[in-house]
Parts: sequence; structure tokens; C-alpha cells
Amino acid sequence: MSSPRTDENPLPREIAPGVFWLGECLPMPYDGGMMHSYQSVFLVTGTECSLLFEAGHPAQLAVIERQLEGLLAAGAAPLRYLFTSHSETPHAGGGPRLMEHFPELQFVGDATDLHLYAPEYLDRQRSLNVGAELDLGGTRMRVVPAVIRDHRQTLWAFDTARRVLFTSDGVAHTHHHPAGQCGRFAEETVGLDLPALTAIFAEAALHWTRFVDVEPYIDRFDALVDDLEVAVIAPTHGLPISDPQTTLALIRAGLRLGSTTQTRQSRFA
Amino acid sequence: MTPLGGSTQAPVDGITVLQEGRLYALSNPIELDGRPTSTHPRSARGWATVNCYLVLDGSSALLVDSGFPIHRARLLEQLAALFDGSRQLAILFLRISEFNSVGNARAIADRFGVQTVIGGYPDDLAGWGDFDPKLAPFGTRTPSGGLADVGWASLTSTSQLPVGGLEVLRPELQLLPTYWIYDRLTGTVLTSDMFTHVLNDRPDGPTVCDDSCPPPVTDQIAEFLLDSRFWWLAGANTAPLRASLVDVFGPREIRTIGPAWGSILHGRRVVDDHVRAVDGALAELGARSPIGPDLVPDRGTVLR
Repeated sequence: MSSPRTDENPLPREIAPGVFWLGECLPMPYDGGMMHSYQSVFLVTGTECSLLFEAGHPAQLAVIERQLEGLLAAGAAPLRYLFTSHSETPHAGGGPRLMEHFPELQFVGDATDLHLYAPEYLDRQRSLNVGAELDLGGTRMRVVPAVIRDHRQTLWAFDTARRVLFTSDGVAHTHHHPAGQCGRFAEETVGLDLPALTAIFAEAALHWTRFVDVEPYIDRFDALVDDLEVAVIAPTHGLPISDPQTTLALIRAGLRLGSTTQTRQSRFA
Repeated sequence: MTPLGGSTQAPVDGITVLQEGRLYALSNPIELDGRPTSTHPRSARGWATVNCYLVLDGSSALLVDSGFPIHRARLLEQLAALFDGSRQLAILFLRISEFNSVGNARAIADRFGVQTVIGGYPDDLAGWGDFDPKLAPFGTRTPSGGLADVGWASLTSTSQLPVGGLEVLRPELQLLPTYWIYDRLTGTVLTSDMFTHVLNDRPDGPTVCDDSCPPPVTDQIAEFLLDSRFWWLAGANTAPLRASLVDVFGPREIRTIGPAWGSILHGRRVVDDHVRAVDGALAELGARSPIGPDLVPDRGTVLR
């Protein structure tokens, strides 16, 4: 009874030198058609060690772990840190398997509920404040505030050398598999209606945006991108963005569109 | 288990009989000690129960949520006391992306056999609940074990539920996609992540808040909402959220509110008091200045 899966998985893909996009599409029927979403994981490599941003959706762990092992075998620096943005299963579900398999791995990022779903790894959990940095060798991963989020404890991260911003639920959007949009940058994708696809994701995961003024959040996000001089945006649920100055205009339009959506019944399924 | 008028509580084993032969709450405590949770304000102290619900109907049984993994052993004991294997078991994930909803699905499937998992997305839902390295080690495919071949259903209407007498409600008041379930036979509404605000001083309960409980305090509920999952409510347009409460509680005979965590609210007066208090909290929060991005911690802020 499984949904049809992607025929050829274009991942992993290097989205910046030493930064790899892992995972595969999660297909879902939507409004009579088929919509795809990513529940991505990113391997950020340094000269001394590597960090995994997000731990993977439970249904995709075998694929992600195979991709990870392949990259480590190909010479990526040893995996030292697991940074989960927040405690939802599409973001943190693979955490226990990773912690069990890599005995030296440190759990960093948001540890909400960790004592309730994987208490055996608490002794390897390390709390980081916003502004803290992890030295990977040749680059640092900085903890930055999650401007657009669902759970308030959510954390984002920023690769200081490659200037990649990892935004978890922020900048999330779906895409269409039949249009060949999987595994591409948003800017590489022909016919990607980013405003509509951003609004669709907000319908599912950023429900609160329908009840608030989203403009302060958009302003704060723009300021963060400018302040950090972001070159690449890597959302957990969406295609990476390689031209933030141009593409974020479409994301802003999608957040505004989603905030005015009044449907009370989900169109997923 | 001891019957309690039309409903009953047995705090020793954490099973509350809401109606014998029909609806049971399986409750297990978490300590609120300052460690971060997705369920409560960081400042909350004391104890709260995390609740799963078992609904029986003829040859079918529906388990609503499967709890945090830390409660696995006791939850399996509770289920074993209620579920004799003669019924076909389905699991409904009310909040499919949260560990307290999917956390023990694999262990339950391994022990009791599960025919169907039901949730809010049209995907192979069993995979969402299979992440424990002791059951599905690194490198192995999921879903596996008892979840490998179960069926799944996307919860788009009441007809997807394998037991009768239930109504699927889609509340406006939610952080993440969720449903509320109304049981017409017992007058109980299962409210997922809302009405979760009653805490305990002790790990053993009471699991049920009835007429003997102190009345709810609107201001305290407002702060509870704001400091936990509903951080975005300050200055929000809460009118449609309040209208959604009226849509649920206005036309139905609701005698019990069963939240996914926190004490079960039992009795018509108790239900009315808490609905009125939550509505008041929403009105109060909507009248506040928007928190907006000021809630986002600035660089250097200590998160924990």
C-alpha cells in the first residue's frame, strides 16, 4: 500500500563545496495530483570533522544512512556532531539510530523531549546557545535563531565558510515529481510555482501563520539573510536556494499567500 | 481498574476506565523539572500524564496515540490488561510528527499485531513509527518487524476509522496538523494538544480532574498556552479559533475531555468551566500586543 517512490534518487548532491544534501522525496497525493516533499538531511564537512544537520525521517533512514556511509567512505571527515533543529520525527527521528551506530557522536542542537524518547543518549547531549559555534576545521557551524518555525525551541544553523543557512521548517515548500523537480536547486527548476508551493506547505506545517501578521517574521528573516551574507539556503522541506536575493521574493509571496488561506480541511489526500 | 460512576480511575496501573467495554485512558507520568519538553512550559513544575486512549467496538480496537518510548514497558502492560488479542488492533496517530504520538507503535505492533495505522498524511504511515535502534538498527529498512506489512489509511473522514460511534473533528486550534476525535457513545472528545493544562503534584495522579478539582484560572491557561506550543497566540486573530471551540462544544453533549497530556477533564460542569476558561484565554491573548519576531532569541541569548 506504499505510495510510489521516486524512480531514480538524484541525492546525495553537493550543494556547496563540502556540503551534501541527503535524503529522498516523500510523495503525497494532493488535491487530485501527486506532490513531493523533502525531509532532508545535510552533511557539513570540515577538515577535522563533519556535522549532520537533521537526523532524517524514520521512513527514509535506510536511504539516508546508506548515503552517509558512502560519503564517509569516500573521505568525508569523521562524523562528530548531530544537530537536530527540533524534536519532530521528520527532523530528529533518525537520531537514536545515528547515536547508537556512532559511539563518539555528540547530540547538539535542540534536545527537547530527548529524555523522553531516547534517554540513553543524554550523556552525549551538549546544549548550545544561539551564537555558539562548532569548529569543524576550515569552517564553523554557528547556531542562529529560527525566525520561522513551528515549535518555539527550534534552532537554525549557519556554515560560516560556505555561507549556507540551514532553515529547517523555514523556506519550506513542496514540488512536483512528474515535472522533474526532484534533487534540483529551486533556481534550476522550470515551472516551479514557489509562492503556491510555499503556501501549500504552510497549510500543513505552519498553520499559525494564518492567524498572525507574517510581515515582522519576513522582515526578521530578510535581516538575518542580509546580516549573514547568505549564499545558499538549505531548507529541510524544500529545494535548496542558490540565489537568495532573487528567490526569496517568491518565498515571501508564498508566506503571504499561505497566511491568507482559509481552507479548514486539508487538501492532502 | 475500578469503575468510577460511568467512568473510573485506577491510578496504580495508570488505566482509567471512562466506560467499561468502550473507552479507556492509558496514562503515564512525566516529571516537569525544567528539562525542555514539547508539551509544557519550561517553567512548569510537578507532574503530568501522557495519555493514550483505547476505544473498543465489537471485534475492533483503536489505540489513539502510542506514547513516549520512555513509557514503553508500562504501556505494554496496560495494553495487555485490556487487549486480549481477539480484536483487530489499529493505531491512530493524532500528531504523526511527534514522538509522543508514534513513539511505541513498533513495540505495540511487535507484541500485539497491528492491522492498520491511521494518520494525517497520505503516505506509508507505519514508517513514521519505526526509529528505535534496538528494534530497527542502523542501515535497516523501515517499516520493519511488526510494522512491515501493516495497512495504512489517511484520516480524511470518519469512515477511515475501524470502530463505530466516532467523529473526526479538525480543530483550528493546533500547532501541527492534528485531529480531535469525538466519541458519541461516551460523550468524550479527545483533544490532542489542547486542554492539556492541568498538572499534578504527584506522579500517580490524579489522572482525572472532576468536580473536586480547583476551578480553572483563565490567566494561568493563557500563560500555559503562550509558554508552550501556542507561543504565536499573543496578538493573533483568535476569533476563528474561538469560533472553532463553539463549533465543537456547542452542538455536542460532551461530558469528558481527553487531552493527549494533562489530566482528563470529567463532568459536564468541569468541561464547561474549562471550555469557558480556554475561550477567555484566547480572547485575552488576542487582545495583547503581538509578540512577533521579538520572541525569537537574539544572538547570545541563553536557551538552556
